[in-house]
Amino acid sequence: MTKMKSLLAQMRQAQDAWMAHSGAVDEGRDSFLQQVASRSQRAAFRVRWTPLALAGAGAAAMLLVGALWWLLGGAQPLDVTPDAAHWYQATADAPLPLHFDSGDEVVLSPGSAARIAHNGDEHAVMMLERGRAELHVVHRTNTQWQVNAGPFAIVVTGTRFETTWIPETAHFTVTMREGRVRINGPMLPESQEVRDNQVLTVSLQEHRFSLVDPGLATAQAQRDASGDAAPAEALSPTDAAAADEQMPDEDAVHRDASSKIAPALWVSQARKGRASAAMASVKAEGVASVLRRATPNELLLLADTARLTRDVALAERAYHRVRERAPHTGDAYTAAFSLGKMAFDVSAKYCESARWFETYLDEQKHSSLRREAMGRLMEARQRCGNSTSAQDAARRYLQAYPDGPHAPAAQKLLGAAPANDM
Amino acid sequence: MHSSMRTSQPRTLTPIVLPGDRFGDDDAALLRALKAGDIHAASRFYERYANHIARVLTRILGPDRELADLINDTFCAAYASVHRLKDSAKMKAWITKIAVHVARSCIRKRQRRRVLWFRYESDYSEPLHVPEPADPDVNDALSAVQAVLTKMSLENRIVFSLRFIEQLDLSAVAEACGVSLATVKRRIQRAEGEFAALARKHDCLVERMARTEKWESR
Repeated sequence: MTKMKSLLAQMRQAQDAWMAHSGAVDEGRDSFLQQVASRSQRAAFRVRWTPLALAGAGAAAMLLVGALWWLLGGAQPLDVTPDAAHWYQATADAPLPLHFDSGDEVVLSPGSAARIAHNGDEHAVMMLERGRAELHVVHRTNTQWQVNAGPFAIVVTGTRFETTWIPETAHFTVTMREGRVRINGPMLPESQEVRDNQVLTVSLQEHRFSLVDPGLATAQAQRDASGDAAPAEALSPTDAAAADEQMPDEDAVHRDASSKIAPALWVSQARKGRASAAMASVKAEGVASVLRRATPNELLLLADTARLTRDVALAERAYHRVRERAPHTGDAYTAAFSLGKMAFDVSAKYCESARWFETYLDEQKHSSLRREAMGRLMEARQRCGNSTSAQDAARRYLQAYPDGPHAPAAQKLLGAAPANDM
Repeated sequence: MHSSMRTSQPRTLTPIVLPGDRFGDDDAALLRALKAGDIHAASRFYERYANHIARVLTRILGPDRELADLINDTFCAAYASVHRLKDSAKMKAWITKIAVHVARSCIRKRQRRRVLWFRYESDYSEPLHVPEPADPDVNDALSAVQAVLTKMSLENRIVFSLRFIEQLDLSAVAEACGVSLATVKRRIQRAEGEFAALARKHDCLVERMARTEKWESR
């Protein structure tokens, strides 16, 4: 094999190693499947609406009339008897109540939007495009509503409940007031039932869901306050680990677009020092999606936790991701230091370790880790076989920290090279 | 009333968490399911070809920071046009061609950005390192090869990468590039010449070039 062919073969190997290390295939999978899922939802929506295309113009006109009516006519409820599809948008500062001949009611919260179709004798379909809707469906035999919110479908036969769908964060909630509904959608068991006063919360971004009964949660809080350690009756059919998560309270569930999602399970576990459990949760959630969604601070936590569990590859990915996501920040500098330390202590890649410590020292001029980084740099260069630059590092170390923990090693290194002046 | 609304059972919606493989190695079944919009098929399709696509893109673009996006672009484009694929036996060649197209478009877009915004291709790439311990000159040589590839004309770069780094056979390169076998042979000859000329400008490649007449190992 010629030298160039050998070099191209090495390039192929190095590229393969880089690819495996980059996690790009995992990341690509997540985003591709998310797009396919949303595309199939849109396709289903188009199929349902194709026969009603002509009604679109009418719906638009209806919207205009509705908007004018809303602006000029005050807060009286809108009585509609839709026999085709209609699109409704509540203004930013007032709810939009919709009353139906059947006695059913829908109230869209400010800023929310929905389409309602097929309101015939027996069935109706509402597509909640965004925001929150309160529904009061009168129970009758053979009457059925279906509420589609993002990828979720709620089947209703007579009940009162509220539902929220925030597409930007893929956050879905259902809060029951009366009766029961059945819900199908990602992450849920088939036909998940939600009944009186229960709150179902699904976060697709964080790959978790919870089903809680606020009454039981309150009782649990009271038991906790009185020192009774009975377990909470928080239900989590597909993810038992979710039981020890902090469940959102009802008010939090009712917040719409600005609602915050509780920290991911692995974060709370890692913060409690449960490294193995945290890593198991990370793997269950999908490493690529955790790497993509975590904040820089959480990425550092992830990397440190991975390092504790000796998952060097994941720790490296997380540290690199911190530096990409938050360059020129304290987190990025800490990641550089940690990468250097890990290359030295775990992987025994001393040349690489020296590069990271150099990076850290270049970026971080004043820090409590600087002394350690300078000492480590000296050792790493020495073990890398670069004695001249190791002596240079030793000299600089002794100038800055003559009594530092690496001072004896630095003096020894320089003593071995008497030709060099201090 | 829409007939689907009369069922008392709710429509089962697509789960994000996907079940195991139910297509095995049956590409025809996979293609039929893909055309029907089956997300399980999409997942299997991805599992089957993602590593290959990642390799093709990396051979052409090098270690690219946007690789995950480019893989995603390739699969989304394939999924959107899957109805045009008639022969399931050509699935791999078909998606390889899409990946080459995505890589080509990406390079062109970056070339425009270079003119408009002074952003260079190297801004998107990460350094390559061979595992330690290694000859210290190798990493420099790899960087030089990457630099040479970046400077090659687009089509020459693509055929060279696919033929000599990914080591596809000539007919596969022709299919991936959407040209005839004769055209790809001519293009590869030109690409070798261009690579050799550019490589001789790098000291670390000169010696390696001296005794090299042909690149392929087969």
